[in-house]
Amino acid sequence: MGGPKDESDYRTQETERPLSSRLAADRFYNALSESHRRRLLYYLGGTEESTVEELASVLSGWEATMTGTMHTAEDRSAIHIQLLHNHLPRLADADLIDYDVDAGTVQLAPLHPRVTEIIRQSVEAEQLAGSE
Amino acid sequence: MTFTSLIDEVREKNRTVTVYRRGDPPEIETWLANHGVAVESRSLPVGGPDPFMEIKTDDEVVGIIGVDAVEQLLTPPIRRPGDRTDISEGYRVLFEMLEQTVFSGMTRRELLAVSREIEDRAFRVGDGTLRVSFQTLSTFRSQIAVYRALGTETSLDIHVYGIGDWTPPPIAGVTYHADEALRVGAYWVLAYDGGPDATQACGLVAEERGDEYTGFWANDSATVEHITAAFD
Repeated sequence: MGGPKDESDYRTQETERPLSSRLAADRFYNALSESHRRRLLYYLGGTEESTVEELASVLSGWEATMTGTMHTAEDRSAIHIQLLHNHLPRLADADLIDYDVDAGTVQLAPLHPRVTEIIRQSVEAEQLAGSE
Repeated sequence: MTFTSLIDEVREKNRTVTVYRRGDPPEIETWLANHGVAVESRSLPVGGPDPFMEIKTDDEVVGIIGVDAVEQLLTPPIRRPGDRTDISEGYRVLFEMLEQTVFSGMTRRELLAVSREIEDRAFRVGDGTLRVSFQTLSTFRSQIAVYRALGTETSLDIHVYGIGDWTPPPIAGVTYHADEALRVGAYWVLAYDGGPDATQACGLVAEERGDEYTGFWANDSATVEHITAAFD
């Protein structure tokens, strides 16, 4: 899902996309327009590599801590399906993650510090709003 | 069924808990690890979600819940599954894990605290049958005041088992079973059937090994029935 092979090679060489081209792309804002996706990026920022299974658990757990209730197996598998068919393809499409569909592994793409900062601030703002 | 085979049966349940957290393990993680549950941990980034735990049975996720929420559930008065109408599988397994859990290395003092919980519940319900073994009847000496209240202030039918190394005073509602066969000698056991309300059933089986106790406690009437049967 991460686009053509040569593009991802280019990205690893350049370490990150130029900030201006990223901030001008609708895909970037679409990718960030959903809370689960912002949380996912934030979580990946603090870990080397994750798996789809782990991300389903983390997003489910995150939700559970916000609501103070038990997330069921069904709740988690709904998130798992959303990850596979919506969140991960979108984030990969916006070059925010490296997603290996076959291995089920996910890594944060090299991001400009300002992009990292936007993700951090949005997630922390939501955490704060949720705890009020 | 013997007390030992009951302990082995509970030990075989294949449950794991993964705790996602930052820094030191939360109390519940340490508690579970100390009580025979397979526990792993993963680290969460700073500023991310509050700590939470994922519960699995035979490698299938049955529920995910915040550590805070678990600790609230465990703050007395404990709301058990029977007190809820919309109980999910995750809660059921969580409670079963917490209350039908094998423990080891428990001290007599900790065991007394758990015993008190079972006695308190029997007292609150005030009816039904409570069976206890404190290994020897002389151990029962320090429990006389508690059992006098249980026997005289409720309609409970109480049976006290133990090696007959001491003759306890008669208490209304309490029947003593002095056991010379050492069948109960190594075991600290309580079984309360819940009386009119089977969801209140609870029990404890502990085997003394050295100065420490190994065993389990249970919060479901089926297990309590098995414990009761092992007395006979």
